[in-house]
Amino acid sequence: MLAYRDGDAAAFAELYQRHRGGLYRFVLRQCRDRARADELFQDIWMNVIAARSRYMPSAKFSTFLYLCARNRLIDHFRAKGRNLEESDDPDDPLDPPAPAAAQPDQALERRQRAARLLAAIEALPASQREAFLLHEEGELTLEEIAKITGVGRETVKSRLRYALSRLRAHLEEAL
Amino acid sequence: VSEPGRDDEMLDSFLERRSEINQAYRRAADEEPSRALDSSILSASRAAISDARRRRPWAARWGAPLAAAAVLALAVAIGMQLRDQAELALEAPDAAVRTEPRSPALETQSKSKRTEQEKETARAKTREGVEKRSDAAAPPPAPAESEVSQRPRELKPEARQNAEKDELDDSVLSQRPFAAGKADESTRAAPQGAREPAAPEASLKKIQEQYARGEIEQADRALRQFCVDFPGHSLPAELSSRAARLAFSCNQRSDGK
Repeated sequence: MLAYRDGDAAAFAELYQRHRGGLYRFVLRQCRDRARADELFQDIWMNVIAARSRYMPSAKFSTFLYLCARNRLIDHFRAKGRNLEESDDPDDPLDPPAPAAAQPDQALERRQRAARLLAAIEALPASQREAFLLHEEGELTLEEIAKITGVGRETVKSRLRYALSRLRAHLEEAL
Repeated sequence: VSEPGRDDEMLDSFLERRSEINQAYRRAADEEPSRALDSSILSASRAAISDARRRRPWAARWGAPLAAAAVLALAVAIGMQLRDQAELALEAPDAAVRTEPRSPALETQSKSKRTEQEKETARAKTREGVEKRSDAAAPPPAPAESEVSQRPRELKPEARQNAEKDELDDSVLSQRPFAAGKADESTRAAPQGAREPAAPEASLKKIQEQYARGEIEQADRALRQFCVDFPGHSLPAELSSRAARLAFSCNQRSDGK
């Protein structure tokens, strides 16, 4: 990011390639709509580009990036009259898996399990889902997640513990 | 029902990315932004950079190179100054060596040279004294005219006595160049060791020219010096009468002897 701030466009391209997938999925899992996720994803990166001159390396770039993403999501949900904690939107689901008849057996089963897991993640409370995604997509530590979400490390740990317990229950049910 | 020990173990393995949930999520979550979105964001990042380059003010664009150049110039200037100072410091001991006492031979040589000069000036002083006694109306030499006229005042009494003694010695006087006099300006500029008495006729001619130009005092002094340098030499009529008026003649020394 410092290289990009100093005018190296290739440095930004490298950063983007490293974080594009994780950030996109983080946004998509939170807002659950591809078109809106595209819009928010672009906005987040535009904010990063605009903030390059003010960027100070006080933490990892991923911490800075996911903090930008979280702030943008909060703005998004606030504009819709909700907050991040209440972002569950049953009327705006992700794309459903392909019809079972169209898939071979094993592939069908894999996709069904993946869909169930993703559905279980979406069913998590927003704070637990956020902690899960920040670790899984942002590859952030407990301390970094605590810094971004503005809570203590133990709170993050507790949220993750509850999230994993629920997800494991979903997986066992599916089996 | 969750068991605390099992939950902690599951959390640790999840944090280390080796749990079943990690792997299942990796397999399930494969969504990525579209290529169009990628290119849109990347082109925006490049545009921001080029736009910032265009908008950069003159000071921001040239500030750093100019500052670097100024620092370099300052460093070079300071370096040169330090080098000069170091050279001066190295030369200082040489100067000290030069001011140290010279070898006895050189010292004796320079001392004899100084004594000789002192004698010459003392002789001039003595002559002036004689002149004053004999001719009170004669104009005194201009004090600022030469350093020679000032020097006798600074002489020590013993040096003056020596000079007077030497002055009476015609044999010494006849060999001595008329260095103390101001008869001939050109001879004064010549090195002391190379000074030879000018030919009598040439000297007389110069003296006559000086009188003709109205340089009376210089001509008088030159005439007087001529008579010291060439005692007994015959003078032209006008110079002879002038010498008589000044109460000396070229036969004075020889007569005295």
